[in-house]
Amino acid sequence: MKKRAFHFIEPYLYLLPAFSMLLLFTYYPFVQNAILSLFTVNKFREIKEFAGLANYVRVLTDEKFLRAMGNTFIYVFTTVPISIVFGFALALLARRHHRISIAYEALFALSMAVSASVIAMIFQLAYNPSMGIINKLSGISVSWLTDPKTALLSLIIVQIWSNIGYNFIFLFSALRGLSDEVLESAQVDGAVGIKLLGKILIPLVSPTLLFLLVKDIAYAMTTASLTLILTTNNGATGQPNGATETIMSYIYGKAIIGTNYNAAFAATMVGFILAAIMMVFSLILDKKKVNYD
Amino acid sequence: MIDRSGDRKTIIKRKKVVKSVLYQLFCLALGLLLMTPIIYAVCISFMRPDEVLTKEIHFFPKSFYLGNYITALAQTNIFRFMFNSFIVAFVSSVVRIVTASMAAFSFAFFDYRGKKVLFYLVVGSMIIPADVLVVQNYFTTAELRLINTYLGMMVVFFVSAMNIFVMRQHFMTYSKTLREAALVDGCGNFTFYARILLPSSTPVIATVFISSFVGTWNTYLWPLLVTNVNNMRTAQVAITMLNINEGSSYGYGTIMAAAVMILIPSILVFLVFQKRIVGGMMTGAVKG
Repeated sequence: MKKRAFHFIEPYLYLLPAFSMLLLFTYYPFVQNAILSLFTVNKFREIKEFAGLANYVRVLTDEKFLRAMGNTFIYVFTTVPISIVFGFALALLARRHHRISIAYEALFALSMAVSASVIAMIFQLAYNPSMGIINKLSGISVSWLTDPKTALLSLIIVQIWSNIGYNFIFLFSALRGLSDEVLESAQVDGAVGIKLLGKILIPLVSPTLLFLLVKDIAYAMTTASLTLILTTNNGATGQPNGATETIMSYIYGKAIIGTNYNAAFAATMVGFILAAIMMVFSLILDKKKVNYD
Repeated sequence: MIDRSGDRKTIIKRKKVVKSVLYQLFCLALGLLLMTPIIYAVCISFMRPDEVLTKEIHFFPKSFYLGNYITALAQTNIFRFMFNSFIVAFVSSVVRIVTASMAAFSFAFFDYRGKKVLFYLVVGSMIIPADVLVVQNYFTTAELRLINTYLGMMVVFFVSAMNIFVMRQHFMTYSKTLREAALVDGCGNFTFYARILLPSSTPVIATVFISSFVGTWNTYLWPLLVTNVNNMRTAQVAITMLNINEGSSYGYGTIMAAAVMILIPSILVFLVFQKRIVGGMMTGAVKG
């Protein structure tokens, strides 16, 4: 009898460690945040009263948050496509095996191993108005990170650089994985250059492209690292004047630096919903365009 | 008669070789161009302070100056920071493999009620970006009194839905007859898992471990949140605190020297295991 009971619960026991962590640090915080966003809480996060959608209304009419949302969308719509195109171009260049290809493959992929904080520190110096290499080489004098006109662009450039290695390595291994026969028969059929790219290569690696699209969007929608490292001074996130504020850095500013949890929790849900919509949108694209054969 | 066709063949062949060499050199140059920021950091790290501050354009250091490295090693706790990062990255990667392989074992080899729903719960968690949860997780960690502890810095990395997914995919291809034979021989399920399944899955385990290690080594936001004493900072957080804007007085040379030092482990792991990282990501992420 005991043995049968064990036999019944055994498969669940193997799931226990993973699920306890998953529940405690993914589902619980998510549900908790969703519930609390509907209440007014004090700075000890004690529920004061039911607020309905009032927190959401307040956040969505907060000019700073709208700015953060706008910046985040600019961030997504620039960094994601540009870094995928760069990664894909490099993957096409490296597609064929050559004697020293391992060397440049590694160089193309290497940005993946460089952390956000290290590359941020390097660019902080490179962007420095007086001693940075960028102004020195170009001969112009721009305060990249503190001028409202260039601050967001500066972060976007760093982010694109960071993403290239990751996108390259996935697309590269997808291209290498294609069978020679498929490519040869396509070339015999007269598919070369742009035609080969559009008709054969892109459809064949479309599952990888989709995967990267979803992953990059999710990341770009919810990132704050570069803003927090490069353009947050004396507790004010997203300087100058909100020019580089993202949804996540807004949340960080409200919840961690300030203790305005009402705004932070509602903003978190808005951020999640926007990220989810973007991901679902790419998946719909998937149903129409992606070729899994 | 001289064999002209042979000549022409060698010429064509030679042309091909030249073309290929040029192509490869072009790719190499492009790769180096892409890595300019890293090369720039290495160059600055060997420059004397007055070389860094000068308004003149020069990219390469005039001499092989080690002062920045000495300052970084002597005046900042860089070894401690790197040790902290190592503990966090190493332990959470090991724990991830244990939790993921056990869950994947259950999903791949057993039939039971609710399996489908449970599996959807795993896959579904992937659509919640981890950074969205940091604020609530910070409160949980604080309530568990884990602020400024290694456990607190690691605990959110103890499970990865992606790893479960990758390992399940791998286990599904495992021969069912081998398992049945093992069970007939009186081998229990756990013995099968620990003695047969895991040892024969080292390639996928290595992949998961390496990509996990590089990922957690490089993580920034979470360790920033749950540590507030200098000694517990990870390298990634600490380096941003050497920042001139934060009021500390380290020169850029020193900051770049520290950056180069904390880059070395992740770049080494990455270069040595590059093929494995790619292979493992692909099987789980796309072919599924």
